[in-house]
Amino acid sequence: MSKIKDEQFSAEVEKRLQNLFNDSEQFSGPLTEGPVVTTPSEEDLIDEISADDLLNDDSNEEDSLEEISEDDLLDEASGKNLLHDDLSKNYLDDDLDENVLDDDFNEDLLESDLDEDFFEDSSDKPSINMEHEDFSIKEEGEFNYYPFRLLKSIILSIDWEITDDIMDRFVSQVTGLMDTYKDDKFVLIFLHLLWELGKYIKKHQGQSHPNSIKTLNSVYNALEKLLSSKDLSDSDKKKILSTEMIKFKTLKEQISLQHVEPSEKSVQEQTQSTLFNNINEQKSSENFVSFEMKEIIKSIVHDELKALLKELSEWVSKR
Amino acid sequence: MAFINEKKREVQVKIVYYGPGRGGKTTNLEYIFSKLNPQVRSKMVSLKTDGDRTLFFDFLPIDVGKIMGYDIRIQLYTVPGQIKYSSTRRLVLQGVDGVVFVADSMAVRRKQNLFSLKNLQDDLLTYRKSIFRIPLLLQYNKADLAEEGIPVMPFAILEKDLNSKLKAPSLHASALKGTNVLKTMMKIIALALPSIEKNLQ
Repeated sequence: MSKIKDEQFSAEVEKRLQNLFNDSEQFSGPLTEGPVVTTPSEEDLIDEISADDLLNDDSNEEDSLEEISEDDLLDEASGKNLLHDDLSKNYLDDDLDENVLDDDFNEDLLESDLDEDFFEDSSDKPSINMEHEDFSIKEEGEFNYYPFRLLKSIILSIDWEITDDIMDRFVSQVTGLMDTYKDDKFVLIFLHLLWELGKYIKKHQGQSHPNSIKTLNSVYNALEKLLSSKDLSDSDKKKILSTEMIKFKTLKEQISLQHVEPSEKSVQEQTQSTLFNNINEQKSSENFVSFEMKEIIKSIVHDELKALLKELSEWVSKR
Repeated sequence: MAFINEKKREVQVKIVYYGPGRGGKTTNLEYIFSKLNPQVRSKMVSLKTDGDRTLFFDFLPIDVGKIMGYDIRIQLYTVPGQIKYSSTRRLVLQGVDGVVFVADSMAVRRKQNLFSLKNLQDDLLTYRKSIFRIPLLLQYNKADLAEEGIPVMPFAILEKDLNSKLKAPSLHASALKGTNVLKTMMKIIALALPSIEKNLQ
C-alpha cells in the first residue's frame, strides 16, 4: 500500500463508486475537499420564505436568529458554560475553540417562536360524548389555520422529544382549540381524541405505547385533512372520523393489554427477587461453608506440622 | 478509524448518517440503494418500528472492489433519530470514518436540528473524537418541501444555525427525490478517504 499515492487511491475509489451507480451524472460537482457546495435554489429559497413563514411568533427574525444560532451553542467564551471545564479535562487534546457546544443552551429561547398566550389556560376537560351521532360542521370560512399550525409544530416536537413542558403546551393548545371549536362536533371529537392521547403520552412519556405517537400523528393528519378539504361531505367526514376512532380504540386495547404485562412483569420481578435472595442466601451459606472448610484445613495442617515436628525431633534425638 | 484487515487485505470505511428523527437519513440510504446497479446490489438491512421509524439502524454495504490489493468496502449506517435511542446512536458511531449530518430544513424542525447536532458532538466525544476534526458533511434535507408551500429554512439560516463554527461542507438535498443524495455520499467518502490512506500507509 505504501506504493499508492494519496490522490490515486481516492480517485480510484471515487471512480469505482461512480461506476456502481446507474445515475453517474448525479455525482457532478466537486467531490474532494473544497468550497461549500450549495444548490442553485438557495437564493430562491431566501426570496420565497418570509420571516412570518419561518417563525410563528411576533418576534423579528433577526432577534430569533441571534437567540438560537450555532454561535451561541458553540461559543465557549460565554462564561456560562459549566460543562466546558469538565470536558477540557477529559479531552485535553482538543483545541479550546473546539471543545464543546454550550450546554447552557436555553431551550426556552428556541421555543419563544411559539405563541404560548394564544389560548386560554384552561385545564378543564370539556365533556364530550365520544359516541355522539349528531354531527354538524362549521362553515369553511371559519377555519383559521394558524392555531393548527402551532399545534402541528408541537406534535412534531413530541415526535422528537416528550417532555412535561411540551405536553403541557400540547394539552393547553388542544384545550384552547376545543373552546374555539365548541360548536363543531367533528372537530371537537378529533380534538378530544388528541386531548386523550396527549394526556396519556404526558403521563407515560418515554414509556408510552409505541403506537400512541403514531395514532396522535394519524388523528392530527386526519383533522388537518378534514379542515383543509372544502369538498368533503358529512358522510366523508364521518368516514375519516370513524377510521381514527377505530385506531384510537385499537390503541386503547393495546394499552390495556400492555397493562397486563407490568403485573406479569412484577410477578416475574418478584420471582427474580426471591431467586436472587435465595442465591444470596446460598452465597452466604457457601461463604459460611468455606469459612468452616478453611478452619478444618488449618486444623489439619496444624496437626500435620505438629506430627512432622514430633517425628523430626525423634529422628534428631536418635542420631 | 477505518477497519483495516491486513490478513484479508480488506478496508472497511464506515460512514454514519446522523440527524434528528424523521429527517430523512433512512430515505438517503434507500435512494442510494435504489440507484445501485442491480449486479452489485447486496442488501440493505433496515430495522424499523411500526411507525416506520428507525429503531436500531439501517446498514447498507457497498463493495467497491479491489484497489491496489485491498478490498474496499463502504458501509453506510443510519442512527435512530429519536432522543430515547441515544445509546444505539453512540454504538453506531463507534469506529466511524465520516459523518453526514442530515438536518431537516423544515422551519418547525429547527430546534431538533440543533439538539441533534449537539448530541452528535457529545456522542463523538465518548470516542474521543471532535466534531470539528472528523470528516463531516451537513446535508440540509427536504429542500423540495418549499415547492409545496411548507415553510423551509433558507440555506443561509441553516448555515448560521448549524455551520457557523463547524464550517463543514454543506449542501441542500431532497432524499425523497434524490437531489444531491449521491453527491452527499461521494463527498463524505472523499472527505474520509485521506485519513484512511494515512492509516494504510
